[in-house]
Amino acid sequence: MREKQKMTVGKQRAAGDYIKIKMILFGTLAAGVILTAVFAPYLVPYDPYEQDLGNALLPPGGAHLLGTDRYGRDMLSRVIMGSRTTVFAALLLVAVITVIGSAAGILCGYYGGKLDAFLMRVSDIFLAFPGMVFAIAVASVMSGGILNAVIALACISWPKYARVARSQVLSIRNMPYMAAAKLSGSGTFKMICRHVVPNIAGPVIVTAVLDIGTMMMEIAGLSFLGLGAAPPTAEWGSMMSNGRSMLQTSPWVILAPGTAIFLTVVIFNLVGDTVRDLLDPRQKGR
Amino acid sequence: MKKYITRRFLQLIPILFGITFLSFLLMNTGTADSIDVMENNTGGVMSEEEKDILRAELGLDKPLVQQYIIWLGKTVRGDMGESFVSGQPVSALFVSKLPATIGLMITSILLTVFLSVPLGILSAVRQNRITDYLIRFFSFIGNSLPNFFVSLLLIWFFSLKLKLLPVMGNNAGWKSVILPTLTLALSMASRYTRQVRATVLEELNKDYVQGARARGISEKRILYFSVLRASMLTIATLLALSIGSLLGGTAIVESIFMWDGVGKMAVDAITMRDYPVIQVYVIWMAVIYVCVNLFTDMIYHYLDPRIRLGREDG
Amino acid sequence: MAPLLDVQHVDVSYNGRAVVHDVSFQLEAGEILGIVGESGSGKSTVIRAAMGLLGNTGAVTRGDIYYKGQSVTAAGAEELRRMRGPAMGMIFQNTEASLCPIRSIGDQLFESVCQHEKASREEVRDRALELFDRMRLNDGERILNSYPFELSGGMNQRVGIMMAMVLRPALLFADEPTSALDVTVQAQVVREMMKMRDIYGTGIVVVTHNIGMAEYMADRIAVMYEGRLVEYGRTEDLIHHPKEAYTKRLIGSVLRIDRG
Repeated sequence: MREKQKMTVGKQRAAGDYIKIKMILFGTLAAGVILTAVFAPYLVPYDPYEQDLGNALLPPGGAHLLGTDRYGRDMLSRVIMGSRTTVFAALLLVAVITVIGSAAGILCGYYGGKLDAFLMRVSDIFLAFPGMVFAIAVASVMSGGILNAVIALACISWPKYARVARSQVLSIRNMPYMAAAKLSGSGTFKMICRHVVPNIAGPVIVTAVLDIGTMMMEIAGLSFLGLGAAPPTAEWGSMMSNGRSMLQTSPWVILAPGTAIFLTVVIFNLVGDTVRDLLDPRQKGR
Repeated sequence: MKKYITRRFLQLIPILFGITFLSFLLMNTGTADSIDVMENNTGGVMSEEEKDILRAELGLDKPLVQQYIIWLGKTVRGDMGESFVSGQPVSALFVSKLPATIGLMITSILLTVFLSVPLGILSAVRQNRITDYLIRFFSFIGNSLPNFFVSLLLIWFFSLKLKLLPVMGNNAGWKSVILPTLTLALSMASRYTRQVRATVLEELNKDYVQGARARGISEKRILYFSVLRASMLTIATLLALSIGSLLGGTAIVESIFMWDGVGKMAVDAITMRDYPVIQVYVIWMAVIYVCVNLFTDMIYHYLDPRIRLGREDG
Repeated sequence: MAPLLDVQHVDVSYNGRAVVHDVSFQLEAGEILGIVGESGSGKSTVIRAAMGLLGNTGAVTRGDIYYKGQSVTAAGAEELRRMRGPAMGMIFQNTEASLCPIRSIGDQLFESVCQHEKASREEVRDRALELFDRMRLNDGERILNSYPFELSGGMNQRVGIMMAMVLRPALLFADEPTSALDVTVQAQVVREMMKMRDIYGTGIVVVTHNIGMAEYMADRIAVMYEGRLVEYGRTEDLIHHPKEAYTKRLIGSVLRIDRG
């Protein structure tokens, strides 16, 4: 029994280095995805928007690695181009709700009182709507478009960040160093920047990174319903929606963008999980 | 306890106002108002003056808050307007489609619980062993697949390739409910399994588990009689939260499988810009969600003796 | 005859890091041993090792621990489980935290007993009430029907004593049993523990940071510092003629009221 325990003990020491390797690996993959999105126009073998009806619905292989869609457009090029919309929109969305949500949360936690009660009520109302339901409502009213989809999703997602930030602020509000900083005459804004933000950054960042994958799926979902990117924009969700009728005959039209979404979300989820393990090892459970 | 119930019900009121106001605001500040949409749908063309007359008739020129109050009054009496497309009263439309959605939700929840709870517990108890890694691997994959992709994959595999199940509609009896349920359940279960695992793990790390071990109680007993009982409360609450994403997920899934519920109704309404229908959908889904949360919260507070017997805990 | 508890040159490690080095001591039946040290001295770790409660991250990496001559370190999991309760009991610093918060005390008591012997609810109840009686607690019934959070700290500790003693273990470990209590209640709990030894002949190992308490209760004292045994001997010898500097510091730090 003692030997077995020694083995477990040795394995655990390596866990810390393990996380660093994972972070580098997944971080590189994520960076790869982002770079693909940034340099998409230079990476595409064909023009994603050029129609070639003579070559419509070609199966994968040969000149077109992922086949062509019903307008003869090269699938690989459309998938690469589509990464721009999904990746940029998701990153923008997460950035916006992190900043706005945290700001609201910090204000609530710091000042408390009526502001806190009011903002929490407001966030309760937004939280009352099941996610997609509200996004559908807002996006449909705003007549589609990817930016409106982002706004819609931002409206329902910010409360989560506000709550995380708020509870973090509440937990450190009574810490001795806060009182010390106040006594030394620090201005409020300076105090928030120097003391509050670094200490609540951890959980907020973890929430944000973990959310990137989910937001990508929601954006793609809205586009799938016709509420996001409009044709002929290459966007993974709308590409899948357009290919629905050809599921049986030309499945690659759906499988290519679908797999792209899947792989991208997997990569960002892996990054998110690793960031969480890095910043909050307690959460993983022993 | 009674005080708690009354307090929660009172809290419900401002939220209901908030929901209805927000929805009303959304539907009535779009770039196109109902008159424009009507014009689009009927294919006719009207001059601005004609449209303004119509607007005055329908009271659309009054200040927003006043419109809201009028609208609220009508809503409370059950009149939530008529569909721009069909002219049917939307509340009746909603009520007629609701059972299909509720049926689908119930089957999905049952399947999810049936899958997630045992797998989550198993994963927690066998933490960091092969079983745990496998379960976590599959829930990770499930978490990364958007539900519309899953539905299409399932259709492709089961309906088209294997010709086992119907592709769409809800008129093939129990067979047609399988794929939509499976889609919703797989998405829900992926997230829920992780949550169950985390909850059980958290309980397992609590001091009373060691206390029980110190009294020589077997691991099995500790799990079934203490840890699971303590976890159940949290697990039930988490289920209520999952229902939120389920309510949203039905929109896409119903639309793909042509399942004739309120989700499909809403998605169809989107393409037609049928605002009254969208509005009734949004409001009712929010109300249902809020009520489910309230209900779960009350059950939680009743079942946890720490709270029931008077001490406010956490 | 083998001592009740025999700890021989024990090293204990958590996650590869040794926290206890070369600790040895013995306990005979009916004796009370006080292990004294500050936080982090490894004193709690030692008794957890003796009960096999180190968890997945800890292990005895050198030496052996014997209960009545039988090796605890080499025992299998099921064997150890059977010993915990009837042979060795533990009283925790915070009994409330060591009990399931959503089950009644009586419920958990019955569970503890039934894991090891066949007994009816009435028998168990009677035994518990008898123990409460010895501790001069009158409303034992009410306590049994309560949840842990409903009882005061002192009450909870007495429940801890009762639950540990209900199976009449020959050896009792107490991990800082009074540290979380008010001073007045501390004295009562200490006296109740000593009464258990007097009535039932239980050997007790008390872990504490309060050397004054050890002087009051214990027949022998072991002083620990940073995982090592600093001094070990009979109470009178150690208190009045301490050999090590650290021991002298511990003794000197106890505030005594000098009357007159």
